Formats: sequence, C-alpha cells, structure tokens
Amino acid sequence: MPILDSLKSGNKKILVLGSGALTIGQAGEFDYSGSQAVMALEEEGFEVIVVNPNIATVQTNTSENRKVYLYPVNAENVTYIIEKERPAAIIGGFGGQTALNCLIELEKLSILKKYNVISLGTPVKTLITTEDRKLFADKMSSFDIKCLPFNVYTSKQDVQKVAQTFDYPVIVRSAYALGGLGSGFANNISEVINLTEHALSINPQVIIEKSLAGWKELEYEVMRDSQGNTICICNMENLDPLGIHTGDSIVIAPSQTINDQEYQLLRDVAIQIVNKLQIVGECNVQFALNPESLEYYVIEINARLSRSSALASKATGYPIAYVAAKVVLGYSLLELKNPLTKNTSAFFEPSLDYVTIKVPKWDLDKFSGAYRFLDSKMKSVGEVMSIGRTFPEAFQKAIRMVLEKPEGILYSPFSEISDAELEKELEKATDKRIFAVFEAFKRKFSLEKIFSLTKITPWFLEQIKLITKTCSEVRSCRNSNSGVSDYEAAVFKLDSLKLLKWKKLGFSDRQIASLLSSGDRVSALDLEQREELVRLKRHAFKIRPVIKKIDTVASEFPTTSNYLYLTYHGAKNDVIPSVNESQSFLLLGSGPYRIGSSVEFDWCGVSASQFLKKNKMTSIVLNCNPETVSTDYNTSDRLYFDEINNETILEIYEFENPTGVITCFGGQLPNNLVPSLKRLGIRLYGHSADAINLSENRILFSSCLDELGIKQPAWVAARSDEEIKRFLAVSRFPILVRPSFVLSGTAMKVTHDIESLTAFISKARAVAPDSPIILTEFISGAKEFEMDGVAQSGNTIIAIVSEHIENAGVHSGDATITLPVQNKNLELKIKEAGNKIVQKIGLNGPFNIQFLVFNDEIYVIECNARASRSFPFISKVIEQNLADLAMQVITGRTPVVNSLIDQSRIGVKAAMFSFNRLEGVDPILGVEMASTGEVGCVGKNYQNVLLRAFEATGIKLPQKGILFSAGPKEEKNKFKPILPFLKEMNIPIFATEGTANFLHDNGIKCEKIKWLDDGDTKIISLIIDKKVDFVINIPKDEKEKQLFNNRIIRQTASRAGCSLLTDADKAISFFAALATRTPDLVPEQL
Amino acid sequence: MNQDTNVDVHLSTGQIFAGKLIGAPLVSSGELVFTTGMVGYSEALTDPSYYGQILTFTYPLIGNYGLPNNVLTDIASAEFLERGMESDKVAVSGVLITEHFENPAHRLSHVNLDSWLKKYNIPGVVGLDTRMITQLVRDQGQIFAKIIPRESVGFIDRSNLNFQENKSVTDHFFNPSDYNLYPEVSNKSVVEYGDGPVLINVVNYGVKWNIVRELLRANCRVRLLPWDCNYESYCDADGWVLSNGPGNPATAVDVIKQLKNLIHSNANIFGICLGHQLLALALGAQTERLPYGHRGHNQPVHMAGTQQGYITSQNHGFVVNKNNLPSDMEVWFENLNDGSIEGIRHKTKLMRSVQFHPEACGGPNDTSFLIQDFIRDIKAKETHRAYS
Repeated sequence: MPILDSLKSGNKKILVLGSGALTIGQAGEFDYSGSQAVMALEEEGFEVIVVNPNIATVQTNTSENRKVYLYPVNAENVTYIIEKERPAAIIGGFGGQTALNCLIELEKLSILKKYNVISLGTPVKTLITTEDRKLFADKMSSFDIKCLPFNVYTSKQDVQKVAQTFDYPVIVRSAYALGGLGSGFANNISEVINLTEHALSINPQVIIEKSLAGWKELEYEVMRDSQGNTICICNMENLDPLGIHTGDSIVIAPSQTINDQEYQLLRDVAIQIVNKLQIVGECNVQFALNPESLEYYVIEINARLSRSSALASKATGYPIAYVAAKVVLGYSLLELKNPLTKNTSAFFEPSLDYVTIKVPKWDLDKFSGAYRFLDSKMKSVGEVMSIGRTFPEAFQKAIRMVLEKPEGILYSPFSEISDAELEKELEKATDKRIFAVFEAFKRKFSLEKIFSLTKITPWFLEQIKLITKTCSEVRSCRNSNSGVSDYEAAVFKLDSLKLLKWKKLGFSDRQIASLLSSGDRVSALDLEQREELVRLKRHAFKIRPVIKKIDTVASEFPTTSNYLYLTYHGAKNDVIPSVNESQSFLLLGSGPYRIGSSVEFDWCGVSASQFLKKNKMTSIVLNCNPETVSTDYNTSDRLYFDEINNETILEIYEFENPTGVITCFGGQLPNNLVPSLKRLGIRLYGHSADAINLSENRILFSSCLDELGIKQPAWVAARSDEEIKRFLAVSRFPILVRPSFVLSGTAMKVTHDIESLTAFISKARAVAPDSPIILTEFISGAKEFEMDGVAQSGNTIIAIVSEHIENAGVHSGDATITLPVQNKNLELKIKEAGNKIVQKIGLNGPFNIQFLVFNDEIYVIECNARASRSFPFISKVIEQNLADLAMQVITGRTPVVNSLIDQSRIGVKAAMFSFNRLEGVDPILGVEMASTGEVGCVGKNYQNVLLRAFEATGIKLPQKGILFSAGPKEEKNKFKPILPFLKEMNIPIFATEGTANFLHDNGIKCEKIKWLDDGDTKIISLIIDKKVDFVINIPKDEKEKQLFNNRIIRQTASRAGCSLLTDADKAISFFAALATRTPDLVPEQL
Repeated sequence: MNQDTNVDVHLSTGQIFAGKLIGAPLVSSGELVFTTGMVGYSEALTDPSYYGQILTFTYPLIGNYGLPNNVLTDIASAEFLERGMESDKVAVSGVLITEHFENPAHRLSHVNLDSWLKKYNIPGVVGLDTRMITQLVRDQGQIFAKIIPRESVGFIDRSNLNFQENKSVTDHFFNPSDYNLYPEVSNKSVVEYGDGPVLINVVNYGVKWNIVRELLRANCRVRLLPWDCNYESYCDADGWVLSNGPGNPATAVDVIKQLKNLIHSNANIFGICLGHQLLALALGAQTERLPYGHRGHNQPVHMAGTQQGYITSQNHGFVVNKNNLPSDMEVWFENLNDGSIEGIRHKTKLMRSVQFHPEACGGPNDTSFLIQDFIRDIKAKETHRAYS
C-alpha cells in the first residue's frame, strides 16, 4: 500500500469531489458511491474533505473526520478550497462526470502540482484518454481492440462535405457530455446536419459513427488494483437493442442470452482494456455484440463509478464503491475481504442465483411537449431494480415498481390505437414501448413480427409473451364458459396449482383480482377488497413467498449477508425473523427517484435507519431504488430489496413481526399506502392514519382550517358544471385547476380566463372522469413560506420557517428557498398558525405546512403529514437532524431539541433543472414541478450563499452578453431597482422590443432585437453564436404567438448551455446579490 | 406446497423434492453436486469430471441460449474447435434446475435442453429450489440423490459398471467414488490431433476437450492416451498433460504407480484438477475432502511469491493436503478464500499442476496462459539442452 502509507505518515487530508445536484444522466447513484467512498476513507483514519453542493445527500453529512464544502464542483472553487485545506490527495472517481471533468481541469491548470496534491485512482492522463473518443479509439486499436468506427468533426461544413459518404443510419454525438447529451440518430443528410449543428452548440467536437442498431448491448463492471489484479464484478445485458442510451434501457443482470464463449470473450476484452490503461479502481465497459457472430465493438468506457456500477453493486451485493475506495488508497484486492461474507476475499467475482432487472423511470408525463422517442440521449430521471428467480417474476415486479401503481403490466396506454399505429410504437422506442410490446402480444402479433420491429432479443419477447398469455388464462377463470360469473365464486374456485403458477410468473394479488374482475366496474376500494380475497385464498393454499438472501456467492458457503428479496420460486427461507430485545421497525423507502421525490427522502430514510441502529433497535428497510444509500449493505440491519406495496409489506410484516411500520420518511409513495395498511391491521408508527387523512383529504383539511379560523385560498371540488359556475361567480381569475389530489400534480394548471379553464377541464376529465375537479383561487403576487418541523402528540417540538424567493405559482420543489426568514414578526404568525394546525390534526412525527402571504394575510395551501424534501436542507442549516428528532418521537423517546438556533447561518436551496436534455419542453417554472434535483448552500453572507447556490445549478455570471425579455409590465417594473447595476456591469445587453423600450426609458443602453415571428432569426443566432451567455426571459401571457416566441428563445438558450432565468423574482435576487456582495476571503465549510 | 409435478428427487439425507421432468424419463442416482457458474451449462453438463454425479445449477435459468449441435464425431472439426461441448456426450447422471427455457434463439442453438437431455438419455428436474439444495449439499459434505420420474420407462444405463439402479428411496444410490470411472470417460485407443512441432501426451482420465483445443492453439501435436495404456511406451513425447476427470483420486492405485515411474523419468508434466491430485499422490502427498468444495467460475487463487491473483474455474471437493508435500515441491497457487492448495510445482524440474481449470470452458480464461507457458518452457528447456 505505498500510497496509503505515505499519506498516513503525514498529512491525512483527502479531498473527495461530489457530483452536485441531481440531473438527468447524473443522479442519486453518486450519493451511493460518494458516501461509500467517504465511509471507506474515514475507516482508514483519514480526514475527508467533501466538495459537493448537494445538501440532500448522505455524503454531505458532516462527522468528526469529515468537513463538507457545499460549493459548486468546478476547478475554481476546488482550487479555492485546496488553498485553504491543503489536502494531501484528491479523489475524483466517485462524483460522476462532474468530478472527473473537474479533476481533469485541475490537472490541466497544474493546480494539483502547484499545491502538491496527489490524485488517487486512475491516472489523470488515462482519464483524458478515456474521455476523448478519438484518443481512446487510437489507443484501443494499438492494442488490437475493436472500437466503433467513427470520425470527429469540428464544423458543420466539414460534415456537409462528407455527409453523403456515411453508412446511414449514423449516430451524432458531442464529445465530453453527460449521458450522451446532444446526441441522436440520423437517417439522412439533412438529419445529420441538424444534429451536428445542435451538438456543436454545446461542444466544439461532434462525433459521427456507424449505427449498430439491432446489436446486443452488454456492459461489464471491472475493478483493478494498483498491483494489476483485475476482477469483473458483474455483467449486464440491455433488453433494448443498441441505440437506446443505456440509462434509458431496461437492463438485466447477469446477461441472459449470451453463451460462455461470448461472455468470456467480452470479459477478456474488458479486463484487457482496464489493464492496458492501468486503471486503478472501478471501470465500466460497454460493448456492442453482433447476435449473428462473435463480432464486437467497444462502445465506450467510464473509468469511474457510474450509474451502471451502482446498479451492479446492488445487483450483485458487492459493495463496489466501498472496495474501489480502498483500492484507490493503494490496497490490493487480494488483501481486502468481501464485506458481505466478511471472511472471504474481495478478489472474486460474484455469482448470482437470481436475476435483477432495472427499469428506467422517465416521468416524461410531467413535461408537457417532451419529445418521447428514446435514442442515444438519456431522458430518464430515476430507476428501479427488481429481484426474482425468473425473468417474469422480476420483470413484473419492476414494472409495478416503476409505475408506482398496482396495475403493472395491465396498464395499457395503447389499447385504443390501431394496429398500424401500434407497429409504429414498436418500431420507434418511447418511454412506453414495453407496454406496446404487451399490447402487440395481446393482439396476437407474432413474435417474429414484434422482433423485426423492435429488435428486442427473442428470449425477452418469449417471456413477455408468456406473461400476456397468462393474463388471458387468469381472465378465463371467470367467464360464462367456465360457469363462473361471480367474482367471489371465481376466487373460491381457483385451484392452487394455477395460483402458484401465476405467482411464480410475478402476478400480484391485486393484478389477479383485477384480471378476475374484467368487465366489472370496480372502485379502487372495491379492488382492494377483491385483492384481499385473493390473498386469503392464497394464504389458505399456503402459497407464500420465501425470503432469499443475496450473498454474492450463490450460497457456495455460509454468509452473514442481510440483503434479502422475496420469491415464489423457492421452498425455504434463508433467514429466520429478526430478533431484538428492544424494538424493531420496518422503514418504507421512497421508491424510484422521479420529479418530486428524490434523494432528499433517501436521506431521511437513512437518517431514520441510522437512528435505529444507534439506539440498538432493529432497522428493516424496504426499498427498490438501486441509486440509494438506504439500500446499501450496511445502512440497515436488514434490507428487503423489493416492492413497496401492500402485498409485499404484509408478507414481510407477517414474517418479521416488527414493532411497527414507519411510512413518513419515504415521501408520498409510502404515505399513500397508509389507509390500506391500516385496513390490513398493520401497526403504523408516527402519525396516525386519521391524522394523515385529515391533512391529505382536502375537504377535511379545509374544514379544520375553517374551524381554526385560518385562511385558505377559496376552492371547490366540483363534480358538475353547475358547481363550477357557482364557484366562478364568487371567485376571480387566475384559477388553479387540478383533477384530484396528486403530488406535484399531473395535469394541473393556472388558467387566466374562462376559455382556457373550460379547455383544461375537458382534458382533466379525460384523465380521471370520475373524480371531482378542484378549482382554487390563485392569489397572484403572493409570497410563499413553508414550515417544516416535528410534532409530538399534537405539540410542535421544533418548527422552522423558510421563505421562497419566487412568488407563489412556482412549485415549492422548483422554488429557491431561503432560511432564516427575515421578517420575524411574520415568522411568528406563521408558526402560530402552523402550531394550531399541528394540534388540531394531532400530528405525531415529521411534517411540512405550506403558506401564502398576501397583503399581510396568511393563507394555508397544504399540510404534509410526513418528512418533506426540505428536511436535509433545514437540518443542515440549523445543525439538528429533523429526521432523527422525528424518530425520537416515533419510537416513544423524549426528544432532545436544541432551541438555540444559530440565526447567523444562512441557507439557500435552489432547484436544478434538466431542460437541456428534454427536447420539446419549454423550460419555464410553473405550478407543476419540473426540477430534477437541488443544491443547498450555507454560510454567513446571504449574497454569497445565494450566488453559490445559483452557480451550482448552472446560473453563472454573464460574461459575453445578456438577452433580456422582461415580460409583462408589472414584471418589468420589478427590475427597476437592479437596472443601475446592469449598467455598471458593462456587458452588452440585447433586448426584445418592449424590454428595450423599458431599458431605454430607464437610461440603460441596449440593442433592440426583433422577435422571431417578425421573420428575423437574429435572436436565435445571438444565442447559438455565443454572443450572449445569459438569458432572462420572463413569460408574458398565454397567447400562442407569445408562447412560441419565448419558448424558442428559452429552448435554444437551454440547449446552448446559457444561464437561463425565467422568473423575475429569481432573476432580480440574482442581480441584487451580485450588486451588493463582498466576496468571502476563505471558503466556508458546513 | 402442492405442485404440478411428475418427478421426485430423493436425497440420501431423507428429503424429497417434487418437480417437473425434462429429458429422459429414467430413474437415475448419483452424488449430488452443484456449480455456481452463471453461463456455460452445456460445457458443465458434458464435462466428464461430473460423471456419475447429479448436477445442480445455482443459477436459476438454464437453457437460455440453447444447446450446440449434438452430433460431433470428428474431434478436429470446426465444431470441435468451436466451444460449447467438452466431450461427446452428457456426462452427468441428472440435472436439477429451477427453470429451463424452451425456445432458445441463439445463433449456435440447435435444440433446447429438454430434447438434448432426451437424446442422451439423461433425466432432468425443473421447478426446484436449487438454492436450498445447494445449501444442503454445502452443509452435509457428501450426499446422494435419486431422480425418480413417476412414470419412468426405465433406468439409466450403468451396465458397464455392474450397477443396477432401482426405485428404492432410502438406499442404493450410485456413488461414483466406489467405482473406477476412467474406462467410462477415457478413449479406448490412442488418437492423435494436430501436427505442431511439440508432441504432448494427454492422459485421458476424462479430459475436457478444451485442454486439447488449448494445446492445438499452442501449436502442439496432441496424443490422447487411454488412461490405462503403458505410459512408458509413449516416452518420446516432449511433455505430458494429466487431465481432469471424475472420482476419488486416492483409489486410482495403478495410475499412481505409473505416474511415479513417469516422475522418475524426469518427464515434463502438467496436471489439471484430477491430474493435479494424481500427480501429488504419486509424489507422496495426500488428498483430503474440503469442508466446502469449490464449485464455480469465480474462485480466487493467488500465485505464491507474487502479488498476482487470478479468477479461476473450479469443480472439486478433494484437495491436496498442505502438510506432507515432498520437499522438492512447493506451493504454486493458493485459494484466497480458504488457503487451500490450488497448484504445486517442482523446485527444479518442469513438473507442475493446478487444482483449477486453466482451460476454462466454462469460466474465465485468466489462467489459460499456464498451458502456453508449459509449452514455452518445454521449448526453452530443449533449446537450452541443445546448446549445452
């Protein structure tokens, strides 16, 4: 261990680069790898310095040996921190592309040399080679390893010259990009030129390569130590053929359809690459394999922890990031132990005796206008992983997990379309293609036909076909032919062989109930009762899942692993129920990361689990998201990596018999299960089901507020046109419309007039015809506040109020939130109202209440009887862990609250958007949440903290020029106070007509630019030609022309990587901070 | 739990598991073993080392990519060189799996597992909890199993060994260790392949074809010798490879005697798996049973005196005892998990052997260089001799 020894002898500081806010292409997986790395370093007695602005991560928790800098990860900030901390070493392999790019930059700027900082892990020179496809391909060909043939171009003209010589289809992509940003397929010359232009707007290099559509795509996760010992921890096969970004592909581990020769060939090549490049640590190698021969190409490698390595880690049980961190320190794999078995070598390759399937979570429904076709650009925001002993079992679980709805494969978005349309859906993959495959089998399309359209390997199609066939079999158990017309009778007559077969094929009790109910009109509650009948029947037959362990060794020898899953393909449990003299709790996780539910809830879950472990209670975690820390091997005493639904919870509950189940840390998903869990008789800890119902049911909550005399915006749950009319008679536009109660809502909209209201209502009725439509008066210009806290038996034991920078109308998940509130009087009034609500509802656990303030009046919008996404942010600003406090309450302890909160600690939380990856989406803020992540910065100086948070979400200081459209008059006027500063900045300003006039009137020089629909494209070329790098574009009104004009500007700015501000209050806060700040002399640690 | 079953698996320890039959409807018994390899089922099922054993796959899905062409007559043909089969027939006495796949669509697939097993008259059982069975085998050391189809049409043919299967569920399990199995898996007369400059005798105790393939790739002339031929008559070879094979090595008294002579003649020897154990016994070492056998493609070994480890393919329950190695031999490889001997070599002579399978098939190719090195060292030794 040469590196380790030299470090240990003197300077013990190691700086670890994080990955920043969650975005598409770089998400929660880096909290998994980042926190494991930090843990491994701390274990070795190092002092760890984390640079990562993602406040909601476990990695950015401070500890005795860990300092955290919530700073944007770039060379400038890191240099600043290096200067202060003088670490001995830096590690860039655990923070995704962001950390790697930063490390390369630091090396190029000779910063590491200047401060004598060693880079641990793969040499930076190698990283530069692996990140540049041309260098990489040349290197590979020097080893006789085949890389995909491709060429690099730097101008549109160069591409034009040779475009007719390409072997179409080709892939166009930009070099150095996250998750294939700026890439796509081109079938002809004009498509190639378009894509080239787009790619070049992001990056100076564009790569054009042969498309291998229809080839199999496989990945290998390889680890190498500095002594040259190399293992291949996991291989994975994409269900989707090559051409769809691996982050958007359904992936199965281990591979299923390649034989030993193919498996070993690719393994040998992967190991050869890693050895030749002298990689130290983890590396992901992606291959294309011709299904008709042994021909292969290396697609790319990632010489770092990646999304795939996180998945491989969870799929195999092998803690890749933890071991990689030790290897990076200089340990040989031969001297490390496998943490899962504890007594066998870490130098081995896990053997799986199950299959795991990853299904991406796209959430494209949340983005109106989003282009749905899947290609080499990643679009998904999260993922689930399922485990089973057969493909159908795991696959069905995965589909239910990712939909977060019980219907799973019965969800049929294509039941209404024609066969011809269905063929199109099969041919061009979208986020819903897998349902098109089900639909096609349902319509008896031949497997050959589906294969020729989708190029999905027949092995997978056979399994889907089997599932579809079985759906009809279940249905046929209740029809006139079988003489069973009554649902109860149908269930009563089920025979055990069939039921067992269906369970083995992955059907849930709910799905069986639903299939047996075909043709009936059944409400959700009825269906739940029908599900109960199936379960009773199943239990009567003694058909129960068995609990199997993931032990990395396929039970070749005994292990102490506590990583579990449920399967119907088994005869014996691997474990006995956990025994604890104290209490034991089942903690429900938050499921896949998606818009509105992300790493914040995992942080809460991890905190809760750590609380239990710390207090010698048993922590049993249930979650299905491989990108999380909550599913790490040592976060809980027992990990069930399985579905978060009634059926699974009940099976685990009956087996483990825990003290209780805790639902309030996993966001809305587990909280939504509370009513049915209560009906099942499960002991719930935390808020009572009644309290949750009181806060979530609009009508009940509203009458609570009325009784307390607390105001709320006027609203109605209207079922008829008559009710709508009555409401409109007493209310003013704008009006917020939503179909029923949903989190960060689907189909929610602010309408400004009767036409748009009527149009929207008819759309909403199409989504949910039976539920009432909720109309709420929308208070324009109101300020928004939140109160997060913990209650004990109706008493608030701690409450923290935070303030939104954006006015109400921007979803709280997208808003910029600051803490503490400046107006102490207002804060007090808010707390007073909040405390009343807490008491009235009788909350007992973590909560969040949202307020509007308009003309000094306080209105309540909603109350969440659960931990909110602000919990980690607030906890870290006030230096008290709210999740921990909530657990003290929940487990019946007397909470220890420190009422002295340091008011000089200022926190700013800002939202991160991934609009540049979502073609077709208008990058504006609204009532529906659109951000994919967030950052939080803490410090003593408001201006600096705010600017830091903005920088961490991609809003950088303007340097070249500003393109300014200030929106309607009242918004324009808001800008007046910052105009003198704009002038002082002395940066070229380009403004659209009204804004230019406004600026001129206020004595600001600017160039007037015509709107696009005036027939002039200059406004676009300004952005593309990089004449401006900062765009302020405030939406004007709902008119088609305005929408079009502004949307194109915003989209172009977003694609071109400009700083883009579309909210006046946010933009003003940015410039105001810039105008008044005094930069910090030294970086501030958390 | 009631199941849609038509075959029972009885264990010598008394457990009974019901499953569904694939392959031939014959009664068959044998020693119960498992492998944790996730690919390479056709290689495993045709590996003669498994002769007389009932093989359990811990990986639940078997047959996914089908089975290769099952008419292989010419060992030097293209089909032979293409991997997939390790002998010309199914070597195991039965197969226990969780689920098999009926419609494989791989470019090299000719039939599915069910038909393939039928062709070779071997029964298989699907629908089993193979993880649980593996744990039983692991914890009991040695157990036996008998597959009894409820509508069996006969018994697996063991007439050569004078063993008649029966349907008794409490005893009468075929124990391969009680028999000399080499006649069942070895060739009857000498066969030669290739025309390279280095002549290698491969003594066939149940050789995996890939050992021969690797030697042909190293440009050797391979002479495949029957296990019981007079080794001395073939001493014109440049080197000897002692193959893998089934059974307990300690019972192969005649073979060990012949190997002692071979050792005395200073022959260049490379032993693989059973060949390694036979060599060790001939050198005066002893073998013993491992507490947990090594059964998979992921076994880590460490090369003594280096910082290098290799992932190897293994299938063995016996191991060479560390305590009584002759003084002129040294430990070459060790298992990183349990420290057991994985290879030995002579301190001065070209005589070495490994417990694992450098020829892989299935499993990783990480140690295939050992076979190449052996040939290289033979050549170097001869060049050295020519000049000295």
